[in-house]
Amino acid sequence: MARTPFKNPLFKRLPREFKNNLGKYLGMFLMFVFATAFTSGFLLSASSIEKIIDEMPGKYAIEDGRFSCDFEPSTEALDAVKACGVSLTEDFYCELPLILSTSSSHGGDVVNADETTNTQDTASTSNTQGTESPASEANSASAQSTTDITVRIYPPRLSVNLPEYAAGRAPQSPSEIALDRVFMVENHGLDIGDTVSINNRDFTICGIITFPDYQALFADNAAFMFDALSFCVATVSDEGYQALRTSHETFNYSFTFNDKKLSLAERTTIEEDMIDALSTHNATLNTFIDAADNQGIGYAITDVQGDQTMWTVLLFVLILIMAFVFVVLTNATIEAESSVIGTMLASGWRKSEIIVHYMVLPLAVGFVGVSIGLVIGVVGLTDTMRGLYYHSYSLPPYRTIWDWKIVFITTVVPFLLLSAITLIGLVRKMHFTPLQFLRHEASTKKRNAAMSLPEKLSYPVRFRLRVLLRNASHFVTLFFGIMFASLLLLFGSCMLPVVQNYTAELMKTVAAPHHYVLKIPVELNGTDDEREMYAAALRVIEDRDRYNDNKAAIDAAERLEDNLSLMDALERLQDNNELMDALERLQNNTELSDALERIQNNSELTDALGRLQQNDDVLDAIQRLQEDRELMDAVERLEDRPELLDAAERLSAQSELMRWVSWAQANPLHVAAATRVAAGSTDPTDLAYASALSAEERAGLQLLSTIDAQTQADMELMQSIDEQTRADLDLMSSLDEQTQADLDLIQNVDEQTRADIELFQDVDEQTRADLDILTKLDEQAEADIDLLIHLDETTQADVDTLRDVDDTTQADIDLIREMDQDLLDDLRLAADIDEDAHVINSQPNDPQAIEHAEKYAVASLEIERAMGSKMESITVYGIQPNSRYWTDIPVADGHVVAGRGLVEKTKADIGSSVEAHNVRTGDNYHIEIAECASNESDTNLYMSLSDFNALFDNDTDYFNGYACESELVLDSRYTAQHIQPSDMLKMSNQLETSMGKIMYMMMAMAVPIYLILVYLLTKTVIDRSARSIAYMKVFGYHTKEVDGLYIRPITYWVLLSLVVSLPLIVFLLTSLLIIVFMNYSGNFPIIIPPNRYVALVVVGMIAYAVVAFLHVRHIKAVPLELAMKVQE
Amino acid sequence: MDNGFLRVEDLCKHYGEGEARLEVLQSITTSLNKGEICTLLGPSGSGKSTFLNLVGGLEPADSGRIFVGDTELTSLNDKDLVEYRRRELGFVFQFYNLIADLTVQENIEVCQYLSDNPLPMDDLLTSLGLWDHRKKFPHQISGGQQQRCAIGRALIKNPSLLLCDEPTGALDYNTSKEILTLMEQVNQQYGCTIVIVTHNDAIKHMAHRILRLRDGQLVEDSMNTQIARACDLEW
Repeated sequence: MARTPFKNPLFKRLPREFKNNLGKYLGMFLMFVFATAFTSGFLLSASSIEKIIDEMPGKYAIEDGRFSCDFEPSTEALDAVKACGVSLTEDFYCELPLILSTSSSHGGDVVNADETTNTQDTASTSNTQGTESPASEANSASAQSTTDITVRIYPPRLSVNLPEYAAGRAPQSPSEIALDRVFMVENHGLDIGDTVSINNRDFTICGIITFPDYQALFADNAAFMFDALSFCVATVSDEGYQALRTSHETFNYSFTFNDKKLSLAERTTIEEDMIDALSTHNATLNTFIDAADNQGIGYAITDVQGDQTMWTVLLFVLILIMAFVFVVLTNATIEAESSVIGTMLASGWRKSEIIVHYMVLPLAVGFVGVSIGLVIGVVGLTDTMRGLYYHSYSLPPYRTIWDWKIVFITTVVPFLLLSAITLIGLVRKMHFTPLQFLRHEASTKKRNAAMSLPEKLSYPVRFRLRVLLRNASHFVTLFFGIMFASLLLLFGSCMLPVVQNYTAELMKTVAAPHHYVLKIPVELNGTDDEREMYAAALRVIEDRDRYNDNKAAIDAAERLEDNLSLMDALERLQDNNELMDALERLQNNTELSDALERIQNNSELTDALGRLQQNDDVLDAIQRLQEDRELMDAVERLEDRPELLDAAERLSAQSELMRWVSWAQANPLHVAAATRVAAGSTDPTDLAYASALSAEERAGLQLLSTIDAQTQADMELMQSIDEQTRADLDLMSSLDEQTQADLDLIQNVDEQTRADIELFQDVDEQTRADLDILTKLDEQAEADIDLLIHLDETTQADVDTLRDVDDTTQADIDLIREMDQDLLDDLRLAADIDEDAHVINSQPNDPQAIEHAEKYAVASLEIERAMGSKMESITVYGIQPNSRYWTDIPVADGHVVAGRGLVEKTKADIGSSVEAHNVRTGDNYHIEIAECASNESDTNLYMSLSDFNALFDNDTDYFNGYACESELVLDSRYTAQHIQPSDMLKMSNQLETSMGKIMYMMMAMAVPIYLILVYLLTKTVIDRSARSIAYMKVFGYHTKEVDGLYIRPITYWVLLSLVVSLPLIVFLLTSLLIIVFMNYSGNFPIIIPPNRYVALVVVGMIAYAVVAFLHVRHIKAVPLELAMKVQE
Repeated sequence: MDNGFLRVEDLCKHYGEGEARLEVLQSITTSLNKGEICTLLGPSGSGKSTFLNLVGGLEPADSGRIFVGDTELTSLNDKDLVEYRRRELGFVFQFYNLIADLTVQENIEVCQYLSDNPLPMDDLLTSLGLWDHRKKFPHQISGGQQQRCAIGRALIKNPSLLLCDEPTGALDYNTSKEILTLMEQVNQQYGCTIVIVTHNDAIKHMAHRILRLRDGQLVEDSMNTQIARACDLEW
């Protein structure tokens, strides 16, 4: 017969079982909801953030690396770097103190993509001014530190490391600034429109940015912790940046590899080549950071990934504990229902069917718990969890990116884990035979309870021990549950003390109240003149605008520095501006200048010129006449025949006569005939000609007859001249008045002048040409010539010197001549600096401060860590053997002393060598450690300054730091860092601000876990003992006495678990913290403050008190009738 | 005897070893016919419950054979034994072993679920006198009613063999008689073979067969020719 489909009647038990054990299942349910909600919410937000970060390199063109130099590297150095296979982008920045406006304390979260704009063009902002936010709290919390804020300011970044605008827009005017989001919004409550002050200039915040290379705000890449409280990044307009450029500018370059598919090894090789190239070109490398090592780029994602692992592990540990709780509770149920199970088995129920039955409810509770937890986590907690990161990291606007993996990890895997462990536990429990179940032999409590106990123990003690033994599995699980919750609680409460202790210890390693790290050796002692000299040198390079404006001139001056005579000449001449200007003008007129030069070489001529130039009329005349070359030639030719000129002159004075002479010469027949008629001829032909003459002609003939002998002689002379002479005379006779006057003038000059003129007239062609030039000068040029011609000997020599320079030098001189006068003065002062000597601090300091200042040297190296693949970045100090500050570091006699922290972290052996690597130069060093000293936070290596210089191949007098009692005033140009012990506190402040929430959340998680675990596991103990409790009551025990028998052993156990598990917790916690901190630079002594132990036990006991209170009520409610009920 | 429904041949069982070794059953051989009521009598420790457990397949015998119908129990593995119990067997215990958070009817359904051919629930509840109490939970009914419920749970599968271990051990006189009467009715109504383990000598009068154990040995195996009605039993 076919079996009638029939619903499993045991299913009907489930809701009743759930209802009857509501506390138990609710506890389990809450644990699952709690664990899954937190984990899924966290993991989803973390994985979304991870994906957002993954997108950043492409979206924001993140660099492959960066390097900075102490001083701006030469073009050749940069070209050499580029030749290694990288593209360089100038990414200069300057760091300046930032002062917040007192009114800047707005709230509001501007991160959410829904609320913000992410384009630079959008001017609007999601200003939620007026709403109180955590940022406001942070602002008030950090208010005391706002005076010590450093801002790293960039000009607009256009090709690499592009900014993302969480709100607002890019700065457009010189008085606008965009600040980092975390610093601005999260930590200081600033908003768009607020003002900040930098270098006494007010800037209005126009944008909230995130830079992809400052996801975590690390001012120093070697720092353990970022600092978003007192450090931030910002961008201003180009004009704004120019206004802020100071000596604090860092010459930073971002690089990207030309080949994007390089392996890590290939990248490293190229980077080594780059370092070599910089070194070869004398660029002083300050930092060199591959993007993979840049904490600003990699810290956030490492943290996010690490946290995901940690949360996942936490979830699994919690699920594991919960699964064991399930097993324990289910076992208790099975034991309680042993006879029923036996009966069912005897009736033909299969074990598998019973196992399934007992699995259904826990798994259903677990499934619903993880499902609801998932929904709560995804819907309700993602944003909160996002805040944990966005409160610390400057990341692009958040968006949730769904990932089924999260569901798998937080829901499916825990559920499967729970199912598997529950199944294993049940299968293990169900291995008993039906008869064993019927006989209640499936319980371990009887076996445990059957243990004999010492008779010496009092009855109550033995009773309580029995309670513990009967429920041993519960108490063992309870022990581990308490341990786990305590671990969470202690972990959350110890992270900060560990860092605080580290910073406190680190403060002790800062040997002096003030440490100055220098870029180059700077001497404190110097005369006033020396200080002024170096101050001048600094003014030259520190006034960026002036420097840049005169950069070419400064370079020229540098080039001319070795040409002392030239420089001297220049120096002397530069005071004579008139002369220099003249010289300059002449120098621009090459032709003239050459002419002048040549003429100046002809002293006779020069003298003549000089004299002539004093006779302006003559010179003008010469000038005018010299323009008529034909005339001048004529004059020249006629010069030797003055009688001709006289004759010509006399004749020209008798123009009427000369007209008739000409007429007569044209009409010889008429003149002859008339002459003959006048003499009496009557020849008809003569008469005919004579009569043909007009009266005027007759008068003309009459005039001709009156010519005197002189005229006649003149005429004869003129008739005897050749054609050229005639032409010349014609020319001369046709002169206009001015020319004639000129000629007259010249002809009438005194002898000297005439000699001079003659001299000029006798010069060769070149000289003539030169003179032509000189005589055609304009007024200015003439004045110049005058000036130059009348130089004294020295000046003339100087001018000669300057005139002899080549074109390049001339160009340099021109540049120098255009130089700012103050700058020039500074350059002159600075020129006396001995380049081989150490720089002298230009700032005066108190003599006592100088006396207490102690030189030391410092360098950074890397040493292999004992754990993990990363290298430990350490600081090597070269100190004075008898240092007044490092009093406990014995570095005399070549001893190298390692800080205890270094020894601990690297597991270096005292007496043996460690291999250290200089990442900037690629050099390796073998350093033998003779001793260890200082404290466990100290990861420095100490040696004497002389040993230091020998190790690093420095000059024997090299140093780059001062340790001193009181503050020094040092040239900032040469100062890399000013370190005070209190600076170490920034680290713990930041940790508290950024990680505090996670820590508190962890502690907050621990308490409910603790409560629920203790409640669930101890409740079962009470439940199992209900009949016994009823018996006790029947026997006449007071409730208080019953409590004493049942609650007290539980209390003792909880207390014992809290105390006894401590060493194990400490061991686990220490191991955990060592792993956590291993990846950071520095050695973190793991300390658990004693008050944390006390707090742990107190919190545990307070939580237990709540549970015990519930149990007391429970015991009170156990009915007496229970004792009377039938039970086998 | 060789054709009996329940045949036990040379059945032996011991507990413990060495000095603690206890021969609980020693070469027990007997046979019951189908539809018989059998009382298994004997003092405490005589091996009654062990005999019942062996017949019920709850524990293995040292030696000997047990046949229920055509099935030789002693040759069955654990899985087959489960199937055997599921198909052929009904158990009634002294302490009912009802599931506290199931109603009377639901407790019975626990075994109805296992059967391909269960008895009609309503008829059974009526027969057991539990109709009015079917929706009550065990703690809401008397011990006798709980035992009726346990019997109902055992019977609902319509088993061919009903094994009852001290079914009246925890009950008062009247209730015990009610339960015995009920068993008598069940035997007559459903024709199942019933083995009742009891200390109570009076119960033997309502049985067709009487077995008596003492120190693991079958000291009496007799037919009852003058069967009394359960309601007439006196003790």
